[in-house]
Amino acid sequence: MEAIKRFIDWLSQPWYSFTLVIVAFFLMLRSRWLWTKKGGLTLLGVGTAFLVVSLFDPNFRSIVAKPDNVPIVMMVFLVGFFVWLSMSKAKRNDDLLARGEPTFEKTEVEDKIFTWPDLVFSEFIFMVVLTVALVVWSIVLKAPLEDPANPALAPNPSKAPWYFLGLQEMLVYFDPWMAGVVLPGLIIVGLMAIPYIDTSPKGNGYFTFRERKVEITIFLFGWLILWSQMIVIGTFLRGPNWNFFGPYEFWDITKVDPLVNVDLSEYFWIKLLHLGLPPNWFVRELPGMILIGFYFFVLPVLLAKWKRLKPYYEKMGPTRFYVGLLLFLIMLLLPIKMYLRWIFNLKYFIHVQEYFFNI
Amino acid sequence: MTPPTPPTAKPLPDKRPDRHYNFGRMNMVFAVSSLLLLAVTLWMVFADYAQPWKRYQAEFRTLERQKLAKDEEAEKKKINEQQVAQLQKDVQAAQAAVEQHNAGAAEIEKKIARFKSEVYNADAEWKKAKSLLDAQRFEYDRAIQTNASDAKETGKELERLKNALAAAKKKREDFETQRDAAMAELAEKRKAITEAQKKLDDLQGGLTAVEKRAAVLGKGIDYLLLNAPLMDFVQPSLHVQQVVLPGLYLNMNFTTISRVDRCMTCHVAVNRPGFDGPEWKEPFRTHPNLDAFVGDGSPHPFTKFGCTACHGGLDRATDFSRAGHSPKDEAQEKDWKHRLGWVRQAYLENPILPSGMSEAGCVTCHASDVWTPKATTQETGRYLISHMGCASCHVIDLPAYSNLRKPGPDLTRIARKTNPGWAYKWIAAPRDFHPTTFMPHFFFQENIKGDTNKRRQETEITAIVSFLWANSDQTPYTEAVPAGDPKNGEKLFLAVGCAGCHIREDGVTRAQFLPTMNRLHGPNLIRTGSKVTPGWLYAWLKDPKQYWPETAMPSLRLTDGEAADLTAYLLSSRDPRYENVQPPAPDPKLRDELVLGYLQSTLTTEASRRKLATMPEAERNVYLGNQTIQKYGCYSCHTIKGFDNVKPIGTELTAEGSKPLHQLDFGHVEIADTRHDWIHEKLLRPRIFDQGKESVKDYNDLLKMPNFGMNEEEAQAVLTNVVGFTKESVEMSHRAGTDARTAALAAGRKLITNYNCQGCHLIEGNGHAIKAVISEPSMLPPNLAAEGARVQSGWLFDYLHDPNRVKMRPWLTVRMPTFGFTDEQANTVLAYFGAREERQPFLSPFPGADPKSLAVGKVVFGLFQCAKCHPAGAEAAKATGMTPDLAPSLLLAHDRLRYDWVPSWVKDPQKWVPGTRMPSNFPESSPGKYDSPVAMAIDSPSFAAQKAELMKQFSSEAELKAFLADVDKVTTALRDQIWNLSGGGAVASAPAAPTKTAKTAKTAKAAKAARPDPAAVATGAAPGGHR
Repeated sequence: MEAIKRFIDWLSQPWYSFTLVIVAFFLMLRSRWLWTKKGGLTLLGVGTAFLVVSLFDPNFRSIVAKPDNVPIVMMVFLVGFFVWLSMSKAKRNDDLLARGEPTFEKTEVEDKIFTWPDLVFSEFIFMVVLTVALVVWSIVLKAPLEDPANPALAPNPSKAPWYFLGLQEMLVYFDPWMAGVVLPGLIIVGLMAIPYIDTSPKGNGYFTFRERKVEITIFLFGWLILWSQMIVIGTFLRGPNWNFFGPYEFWDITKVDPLVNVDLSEYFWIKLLHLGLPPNWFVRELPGMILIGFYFFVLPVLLAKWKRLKPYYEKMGPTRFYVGLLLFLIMLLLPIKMYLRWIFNLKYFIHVQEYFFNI
Repeated sequence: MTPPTPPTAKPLPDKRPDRHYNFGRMNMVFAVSSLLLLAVTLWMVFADYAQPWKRYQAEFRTLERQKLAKDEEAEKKKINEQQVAQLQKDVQAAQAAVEQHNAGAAEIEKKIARFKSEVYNADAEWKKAKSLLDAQRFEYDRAIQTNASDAKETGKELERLKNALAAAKKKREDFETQRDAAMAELAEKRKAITEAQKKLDDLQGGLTAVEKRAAVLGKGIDYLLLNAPLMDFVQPSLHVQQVVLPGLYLNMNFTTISRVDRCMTCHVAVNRPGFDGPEWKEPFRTHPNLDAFVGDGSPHPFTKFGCTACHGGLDRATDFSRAGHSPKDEAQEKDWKHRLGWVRQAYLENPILPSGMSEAGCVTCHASDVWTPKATTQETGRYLISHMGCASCHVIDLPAYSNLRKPGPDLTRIARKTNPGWAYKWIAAPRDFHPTTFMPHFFFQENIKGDTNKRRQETEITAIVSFLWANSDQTPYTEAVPAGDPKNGEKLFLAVGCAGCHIREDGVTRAQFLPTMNRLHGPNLIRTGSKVTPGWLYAWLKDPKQYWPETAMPSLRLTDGEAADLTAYLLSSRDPRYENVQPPAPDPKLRDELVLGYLQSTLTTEASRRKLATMPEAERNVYLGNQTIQKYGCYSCHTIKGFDNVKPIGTELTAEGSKPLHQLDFGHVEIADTRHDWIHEKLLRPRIFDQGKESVKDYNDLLKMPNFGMNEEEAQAVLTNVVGFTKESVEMSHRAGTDARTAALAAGRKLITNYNCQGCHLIEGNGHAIKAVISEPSMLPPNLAAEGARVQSGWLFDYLHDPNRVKMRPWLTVRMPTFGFTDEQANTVLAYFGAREERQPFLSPFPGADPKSLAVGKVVFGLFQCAKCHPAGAEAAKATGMTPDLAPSLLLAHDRLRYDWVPSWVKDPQKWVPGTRMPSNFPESSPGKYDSPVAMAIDSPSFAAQKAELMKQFSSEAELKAFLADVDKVTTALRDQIWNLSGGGAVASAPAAPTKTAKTAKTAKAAKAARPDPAAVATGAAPGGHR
């Protein structure tokens, strides 16, 4: 048992777990079985079994069963349920459409029912049941109050509200200016821009995966991996000093993580050219700027000409294509930076500490 | 939440075609969920209602009623039934008598009723008149302001109303007078009834009180209704009790708020006496020592100080665990968990201190004190903290620990005193040499393991010794030590006072000397012969300050012969293990490694290597010694050359009791996660938190706190202080000792502790440590209980500077030492004694005696045979053939004593100095009232002559008798006689007590010459001479 726990702890280190989750994500999208009832129940069973068995471990229990974290455990299951629900519906429709039959939504729409009593009565029952659940929750789990807030004594780890823990996790890889302002801003802008970028009428009013493969994959990648998964890491796997801890590891306040991150400029000027850092910041950061410039300004143009993307370019027109691609590239910057950090200890591409501008 | 049956393809059999759902089943679901909602609602009400404190209050009500039933029984037993019946009969008889004989009573009652209504009416009229007058006053004021034409009339109307008011007042007062007269008349008539009734009430008073209380505590229907769930918002009899404490603050980081203690919600009887018998268990017990704490009349009344300011814990909590109760041991923890579902509060920064540590709470308000009354454990801790040197390495910013003398000896002349071999062995293991020493063990502790590390430490000790010798004055003592007699030396050791501060015993522990430790003030003198050179010891005994100017060791004014005898005696204790030893040669490889390590902290690797190569062997040792002294902070307790004003190395402890838990490193040690458990372990085993980390940390990073060999009791005492060093803030009005008096007391007490006055004297109830070697109470140095009220400041000042100038108690072998006080120190002592007795330092000159008083004094002096014990001069001593060894000479009195004190001393000596041999001549007939036996005695035929003598001064025998019966006059007369005897207060009014503190040495000498020669007094009293 100990060996398994240690293995899971080892496996859940960000670089392994993140890769694993990405692989699982793509496998999951290809799977058919997973989106059947059997598959869903199996997934639920495995998840619940993992949780229940793990709760016997004192370190796991102390974090997961914390009254603050209970809603986040629920969130994990709810996210899973709703993804499963929509995907199973989509797969069902895909099958129907493949057979040339109308979608089940279409069939349902024709079957009209009354507001009273069918709708109102079922809503009322839900209200009652939900109230019961909330009352029981409030009696059983006491509010986790701590001592009065002390400005001179921040709790360790200091954690954001759970829904921002993904952003806080991003702070590990980006400058606060990027992770706290630019990226969250662009998330909102990007979400607002979706209807204008993606004007395809497919999937309107019915679930489908096959007709919207790329769009759904990109969205789910951002939502499941870059947002939800980061919240899970930030909640359950980040302990004192924001150090990483496996799910069965004790949150030891004295744990020390080596700090060995290096800027791109150092890699280029010192390690590659053995020249020493140029005194002028512009010259010093030139390699990083060229790289970032290439990523944002040259790469999209090249991609537009790539034969796999050319049809999209032609279909969407240059404005939609470039805006969408730019947003996509910004999203991808996060996993790219994460991997560069894990593999090369890269601190920043561009590190202009003179003007607090870091990417 | 999973949705109910999702839309399924197959419709259920009994589903109506126009419905989407099966409503038979929907209704079932609805019914079940509604019932569930009802159930959880009831659960919610119950969960809100069933507070544990309600159970405690209800239980206490039952218990108190049971107690009241017992009390009622007891009260009833006290009352004699027959007596009650008799009194009741009396009341009835009186009533009958009144009714029979004074039929007018009813008449009077009617009259009273009428007058009462008249008074009421007249009062209403008066109020109306007053109101009209006030309104008119405003009208008139307005009329003047606006120059109204009718101002004159308005003024007239005002005058009229004034008269009306006066008339109304008169009318009311007249009726009142009549009413009162009638009432008095009635009371007179009914006097017999009232008196009989009062007797009856008095007899039954206790019972009535019990019955009244029992009525309040009933558990009838009203009780059930008022406390029923959902009904208990009106006025429940079970409710949260609290006391708001505006002067005691809670730090909420952004603001401070007043404490609101709710402890008494469960601890119902905490401030009520009578619930402390063995049958009362917590939380129902009365607070112990109600006179000192919690009680209404105590210095810490419950309504002002509450509970949590002293005990800690969460003030507003009404739940056992949330309040922060801390178990005192594992057994209690287990019991609480089992019985009360106790859980430790991880986020509570200041949990309740476990029982036994409550005295820690004293520090918050008594921070300016040096001795806190009743805080015995805490006081022991204070002593240990200053004497073990805790406060030397750790800054503790409190008055008791500021400006302390370094507890260890000055090491700048160590080479003159001892040898390096001894020093090496001493540093390695001090308690091996002196079992009771406060010097801790720095080396060979549990966290330093392995052979290499053992040799490293040996190298470090040798290096320290090398450094000390290289930085010491090397001048040898050249004066030849005369051969002494060790037997006589031992006698001296026990007789002259050495034993007040020193012991010479092996196989003892410090714990045996708790709680005061006065006799451990100076070093244990066992094995001295193997430690010091004879020349040093001889010179040291004669004058300690020549070797160490700041020492607390006083001079006992030993003659050369005495010093030689004592030297011989002290040197006779030897230990061969410590003789002819040399420090082991340092391991050169390890030494160089350590030296290199220190060099590298400031130099580059290469430069340090070069520097090391240039250092000769001896210099390397000295260099390492210097670094090691810095590493362990030796200079905090010892004066060492080159370490002036170096900051102490310990963590500051001023707010240790508020230190966040995560700042304490528990390492791998499995103990309860509390501050006090951590400190407790740290004190007993200072290096314990390195357990398991010995090989993880680098050698110089291992914990360095030395081991004091504390036992549990010492650790508890120190712990009780340290957990009390908090950041709590309290209002000035709640703090003890913010005035000048306390400051004077604190300064005096610090000095008294530093010079160990209590080794010999009894001060504030503690001391007389020398009792251990002097069994005869009369041979003990004096009790200084009343010193401030007793002696003149000027005299005491001179005496402290030169105790040899006068010998009050020639029979004592113990000598008052010469401490070499500065004027400031002597004045600190004076101010302390004055403050203790609340006396001003100086008196106006003695006003002179009244001739009558002096005449009586002379007679009474003879009558009481004062001179039998008090030598009153050489001639008097010869004439009476008295024993001179009993009491101080009265010839010193006018110079030494305060004239305002002597009469009250003579009146009741035991009150001033309990246990004094001075007899009480005036019996105390009732508290505070004394009788004079002289008035009776003077009539005895044997005193006829004296009476005749006195009658010359008095006009009548009655006047004389009245004088003699007045204790204050008689005692004053005795004082006048004493002043007369010593030439300090004849009828003339010569100044007797000039102020002396301001005098130069020269005038002091002159003044001394003017007084009766103390030497002559002493010689007359004790022909054998004195030391």
